[in-house]
Amino acid sequence: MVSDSSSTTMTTTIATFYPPLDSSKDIKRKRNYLYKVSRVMISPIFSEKPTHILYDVNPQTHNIRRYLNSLSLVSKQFLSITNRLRFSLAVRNPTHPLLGRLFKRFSNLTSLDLTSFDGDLDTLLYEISNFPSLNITSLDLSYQPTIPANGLQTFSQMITTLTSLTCSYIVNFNSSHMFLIAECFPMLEELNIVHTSCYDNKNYTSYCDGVEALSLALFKLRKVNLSRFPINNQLLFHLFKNCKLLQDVIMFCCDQITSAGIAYTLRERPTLRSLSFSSSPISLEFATSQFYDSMVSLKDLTCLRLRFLNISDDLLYSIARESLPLTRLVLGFCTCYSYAGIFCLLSKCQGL
Amino acid sequence: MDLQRASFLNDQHVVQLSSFIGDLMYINLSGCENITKSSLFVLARSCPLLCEIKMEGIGSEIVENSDSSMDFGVDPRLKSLYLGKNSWLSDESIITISSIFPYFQLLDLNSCECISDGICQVLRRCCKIRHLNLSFSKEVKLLGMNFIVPNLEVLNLSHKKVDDQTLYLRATIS
Repeated sequence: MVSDSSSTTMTTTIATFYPPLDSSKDIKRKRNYLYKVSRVMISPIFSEKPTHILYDVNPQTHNIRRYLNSLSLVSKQFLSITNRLRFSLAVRNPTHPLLGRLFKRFSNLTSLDLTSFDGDLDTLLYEISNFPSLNITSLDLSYQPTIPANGLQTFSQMITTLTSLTCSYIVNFNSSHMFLIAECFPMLEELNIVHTSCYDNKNYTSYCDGVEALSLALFKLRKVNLSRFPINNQLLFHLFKNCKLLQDVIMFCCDQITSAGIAYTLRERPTLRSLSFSSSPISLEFATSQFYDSMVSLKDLTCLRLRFLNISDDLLYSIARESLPLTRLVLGFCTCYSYAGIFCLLSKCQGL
Repeated sequence: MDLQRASFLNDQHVVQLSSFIGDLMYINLSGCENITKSSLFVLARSCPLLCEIKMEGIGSEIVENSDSSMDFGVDPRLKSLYLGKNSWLSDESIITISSIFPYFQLLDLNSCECISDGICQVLRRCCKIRHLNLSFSKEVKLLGMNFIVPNLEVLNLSHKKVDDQTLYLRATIS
């Protein structure tokens, strides 16, 4: 900490650029941290809002976690309390050999993030499966080169609590993986399979079979993200028809879906709460009254996100007329609507 | 609410809309070429719950009514402000803005080519700032900084020539 540094007093020696750490200063700083923690943290943290402070990646709570780390170094009892409050773990390569100890230490883990692991995922999943006492509800395998089929199968046999699976941006993701997910995790409530967008048109029909298998198997599905997925009108209809609990659908860049297709499909699931949709860049065909009527038939819709669509004020007028309970509205890069439409909508839907 | 690229929107429209969106927590008006920084002040006044504002690449300043920012106080809630790609943004404007939002934690000024040493004053005033993005802001000068920025964690200076003296200051703030 150099407080009196000005450009004129600088010399060129390295030592001045990087002043040596003053240990007494460091100790003092640490003592200040501990003091702050003891003053503000201990009592309120366990009674009011412990969870998000400890495991959240929110930058606003970042400092608090740092304070807690300092404190946990000196108090084993404190450590034993904070261990129980950690619910998520990101497994990286250096974490791998310590997995057993970490699972023993953080006994309440519910969420595993394997996105940054670049070793053998099958082996890793076998090892995780050896801890059936874990109540893992959420697993993230995104950005991996492929789906570890054998590992996932073992995992699903030993850990049956999974309700959320994320397999987004997986380079080699094919229909056999969809069949695997459908077979292994029929209890899923949330599925994210954002595609890398470079799918092979030749395999299109096999993708269709995969999506159909998923929509038949996952009867508890509430939330699904199929962005960039090669999904067409027919498959979308299957999905909406079979997944009766569906509330939240994200389909950005799904360029095979037409206005008539989505209009027809939305009628199938009037309980939808959140719809996010975009087609190929600036598609002109979505400005139809059929599409608008279906949209406003979703009486519980709280979140509407449309991007790169050609919409008209008529859609905004319709939403205003039906007073949909919108709390989130995204019309980024949409065209052909005007101030009159947005004024009408905002004056009626004031929950935003 | 995200109305990115709604190029029909102007400042007058924002004034009229602002009475309906009092509970808004997030707004993105990037690419709305016909609004200016006066919309920023209007939103800050009308939407007390706003945590995050994105206004990248909006229209340049209008000279008339330049003291519209004077008639309201400090907005303590705003945490993130994205004003990148606004090449008209001057030192003076950013200092005014920082006096209204003294508690923000994230400030993104990428590609704001008119900002130079005003940034030091912003850093001096906004002591809670954690994340500052100055990438592609070629004129920014950090040399006047002879004070400590206690909370800064991320400083993005990419695509900018950084000399040893500036780096030294960087070291002292991190």
